[in-house]
Amino acid sequence: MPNTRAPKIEVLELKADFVKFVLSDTDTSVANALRRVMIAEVPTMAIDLVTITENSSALQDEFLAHRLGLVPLRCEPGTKFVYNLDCDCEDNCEQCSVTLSLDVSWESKAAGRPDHEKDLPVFVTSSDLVSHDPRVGPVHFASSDIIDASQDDGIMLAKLSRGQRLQLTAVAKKGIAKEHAKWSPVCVATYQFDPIIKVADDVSATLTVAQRQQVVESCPVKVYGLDERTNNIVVRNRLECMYCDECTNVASSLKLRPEDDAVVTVTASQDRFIFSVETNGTIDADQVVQQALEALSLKLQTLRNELINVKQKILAAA
Amino acid sequence: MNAPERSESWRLNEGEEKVDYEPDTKIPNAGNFIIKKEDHTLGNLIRMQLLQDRQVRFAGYLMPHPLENIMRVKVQTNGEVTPMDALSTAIEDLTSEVDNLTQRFAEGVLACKRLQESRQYQ
Repeated sequence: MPNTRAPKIEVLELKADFVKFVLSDTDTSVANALRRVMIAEVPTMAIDLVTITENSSALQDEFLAHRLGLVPLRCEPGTKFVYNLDCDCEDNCEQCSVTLSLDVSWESKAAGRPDHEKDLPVFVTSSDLVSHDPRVGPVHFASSDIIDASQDDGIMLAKLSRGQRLQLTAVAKKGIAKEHAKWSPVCVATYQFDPIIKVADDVSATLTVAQRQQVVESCPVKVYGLDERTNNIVVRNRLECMYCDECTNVASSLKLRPEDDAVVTVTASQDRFIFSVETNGTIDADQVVQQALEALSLKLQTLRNELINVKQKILAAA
Repeated sequence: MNAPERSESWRLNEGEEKVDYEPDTKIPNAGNFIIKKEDHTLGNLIRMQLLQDRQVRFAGYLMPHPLENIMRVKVQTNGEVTPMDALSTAIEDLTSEVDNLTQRFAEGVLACKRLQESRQYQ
């Protein structure tokens, strides 16, 4: 007996690195599966193998390799790689990996500095990593405008002092965050239940205007407001609610009779979920959601096909 | 030295079957599915979908151990369908729901982009 639901999605906010949307008419398990897949099962590229030719910096090789692995690598939309383990090549090739190289010495960067800065250490950052594939490279800023406005020049990897040098090649491979968190495409992927906020006007009429104002001001995120004309409590920013219960506590302490109904009630909707997804720059935010849904669909399809296989095996054995 | 392969959390080992089925010997119309390399993501999803089915009497899942990458789903039906068929329908329903969602999300993104563009011209 089919029990399909027809869920809806409404996108509220969309930026290159952030998307906020409402998923409705479905079960919590679907929302949670989507969240989990976004965090751990959307494939990205990350540095996985580092060959160090020269490291005279203060940091050990292993430490540097770990830092390099955590550098997010931007993948141009539409770039497809295969998993290194599935690839036919011997070690790695351009179908399953991207080579990046780094060669920085104190002398090369400190040259041309003014005299008073001469002895300061030089910084090795992610922007010193040179990718051999134009489609993949260390994440920097979303747009050139922000780069010009910022003094930041990449993610710090190491500091070198006079005479020190760092020379290495790194191989980035495709992977998922279930294996290592460095492959996760998101910084934030959460959902919250859509708040249902009710104000009982007849009960709130028993409060003085000053008391109503107190209820309105109790909210740290300014969900409520007072109507200018009627002085009733009204809900202004419902989606900002974070279920802190400050308003209900204040309102119940102000009640004249304890047996009165609550002035404001905040409950969580069971079938509307507000998702906030922020990426670390490896893929665009809408792509993260899209690819997560595709990955989830693929997981279900493989399971369905495997079940058919198992069924046939049982029939054959009987 | 004896650390397991990193990829073992999500990749089937050589010759490993994705799903094993064990009919329950004590309860009628019941069976256990051992699904390898899956976790709460699919486990909870499948369990909740099975519970929607009126022909399913019991559905539950568990991860026996966090370091073993397997998940067990137990299903008992009312006898009109086999646990295998109940699970197949549940997965079928979920697949169509997720495919539907993919489409809805693409439409939502388009609508949002159009809205942002129209705001720019105002």
